[in-house]
Amino acid sequence: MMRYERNHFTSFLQIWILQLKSWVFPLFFMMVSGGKDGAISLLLRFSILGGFLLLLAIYAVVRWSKRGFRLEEGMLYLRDGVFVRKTREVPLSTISTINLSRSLTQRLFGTTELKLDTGHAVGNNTEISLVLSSKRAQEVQSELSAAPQKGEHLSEDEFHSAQGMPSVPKVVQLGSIQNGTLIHAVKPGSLLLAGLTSNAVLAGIAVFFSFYNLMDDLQNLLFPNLTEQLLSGAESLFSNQFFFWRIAQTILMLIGVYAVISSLAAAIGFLIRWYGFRIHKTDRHLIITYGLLQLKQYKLPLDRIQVVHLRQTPLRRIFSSCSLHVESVGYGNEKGEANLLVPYLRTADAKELMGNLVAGFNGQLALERPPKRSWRRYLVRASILPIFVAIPTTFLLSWGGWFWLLLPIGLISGTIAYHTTGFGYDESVVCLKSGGFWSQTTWVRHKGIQSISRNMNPFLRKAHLASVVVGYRGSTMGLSASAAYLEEADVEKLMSLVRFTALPQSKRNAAFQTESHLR
Amino acid sequence: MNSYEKLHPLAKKLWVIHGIIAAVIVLGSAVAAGFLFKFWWQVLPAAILSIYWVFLWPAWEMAQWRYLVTTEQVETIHGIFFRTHTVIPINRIQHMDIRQGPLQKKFELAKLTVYTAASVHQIPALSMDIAEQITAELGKAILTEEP
Repeated sequence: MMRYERNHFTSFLQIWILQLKSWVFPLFFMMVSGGKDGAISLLLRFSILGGFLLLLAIYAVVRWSKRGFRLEEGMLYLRDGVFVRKTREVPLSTISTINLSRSLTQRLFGTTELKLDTGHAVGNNTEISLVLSSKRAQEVQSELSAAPQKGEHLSEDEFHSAQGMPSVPKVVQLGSIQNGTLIHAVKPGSLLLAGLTSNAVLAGIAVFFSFYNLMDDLQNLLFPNLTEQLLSGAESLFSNQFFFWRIAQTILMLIGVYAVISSLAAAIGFLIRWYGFRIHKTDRHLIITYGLLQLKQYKLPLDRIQVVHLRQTPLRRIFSSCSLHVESVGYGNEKGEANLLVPYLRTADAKELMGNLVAGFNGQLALERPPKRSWRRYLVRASILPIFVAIPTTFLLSWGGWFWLLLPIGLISGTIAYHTTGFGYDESVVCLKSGGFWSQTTWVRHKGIQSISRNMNPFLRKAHLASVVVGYRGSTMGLSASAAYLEEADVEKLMSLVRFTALPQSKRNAAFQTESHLR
Repeated sequence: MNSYEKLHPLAKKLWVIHGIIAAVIVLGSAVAAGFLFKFWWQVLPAAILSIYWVFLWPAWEMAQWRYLVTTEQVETIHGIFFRTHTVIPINRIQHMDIRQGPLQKKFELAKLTVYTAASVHQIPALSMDIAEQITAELGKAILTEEP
């Protein structure tokens, strides 16, 4: 029997620090207060602290020594637990995403964290995490990604190329990229543009102005004669009310400045996080590498990619640029991550690139638009919220009438939504496009469609219109793409298509004769 | 082509009982609040809701619910105002379960829940026999299905 392999010995530090974090406050309190009337002498306090740190360190070392993994005949065996022993067996074919990541400290120790996901992760946590020396991490990564996927067998050549382990390159690089061709690299300039056109900056400025306005109005509402008081004499000039409002306004100003600065910082953060973003493609994988401080590398099996999105924010729409995203179990579900495939590029290029990246995804797919009679339904839908907000605010707030400005904005958004919406399909994907100022186009491979729904209300039924919702598999449950107010007959066609493409091949051939109306 | 099936006729009775329970609680608390605070306006919406729950909703729900289970897909059509027609290809089904509450047990009804990787779908009231038959058949179909 093979022995379990341990994580790199420095990973005990990680466990130690993690444990220490939860004890920081009690320890700090003990050191500062020193018990009743400082009864505990300084020497004793330090020895308690030292003893405690040592105890935690011992625990961390024991914990590290009990944690292990081994790879054997297509299975990954995991072992963990000091008091309660846990073992887990993971068939390699179920691993969807392999992620290599190196934080600054890990770079210092020459280790790499290998994160694996099979689709059973809870929340933002990584399912399986191994900290290994960089060389070993690469070896394990190649072993893992050489494992045949479900229902797929390795060819002789592939098997041999997987055996030839790469040497460790001198430059700071994560995994080896064998036989990979560089498909796309994003320049720092584009990244900064991407950070600025992401919504963070706009949101920050908007929050500031709305706060400041609200502030002024509240002042008038609560202390309507404050201004007269200010004008009437010196004694009221220094009244408590005046000071209260000046201080409150200063605080709000500071919040505003903070919002703007933090938004800019967010844009720079965007640059740091996604720095050096590049995609390599091998026969069976997409390899995505990025990061300035924390290096990350994801290896996504191509045949597991079922969904690709193209997203546009209002600013990006003006610059006719966009970002591409991909749904793959375990990719982009960690804190502060996004399932980016390409952070920033021109829309026309994106559509071309998409097909190159993942076979079968036709970015140029022609989309059918909703009929003209559904335009007014988009307008109605987009004006409901502004009207509901504007009516009460007009009566309640002196400046509430300004909220009626939301109505034309809503109508514009509705019109944009009408012109944006569309759907299309070909032999390998279904494509749905929707949204107003913010828009999203989603391509779902037939295999990835989990369910399809057609929604109608009595008005739509009368007009023979329907909305369609396509449920797909992603990193979390309940993901779907939709398009509203399409021709009912078109939606029906789409449903028949899904019924048809979900059939196994044998039945599909037989059914093709009878359901030839699909094409 | 198979035709869409209705839910079990006893389902209406079950929903009426559910409605009565809810109506007793809501109407009861509205009346109790009336005696306590000498304020009676809340009884009107409570009464309207109760009538809806007991007399209208069960009949409407029963009249419109349709489902279809074949060896290729599960389909449901439901919704009183907003109608939703859903198609779930059976080789996307991850697992299924059958649930019974105490009242459903009495009527020998069951709720069938179908899970895919993206969503959860329910058929609210089937006879237990049919529910078991469906899960058994779907189970078989899923097993013989190639991916």
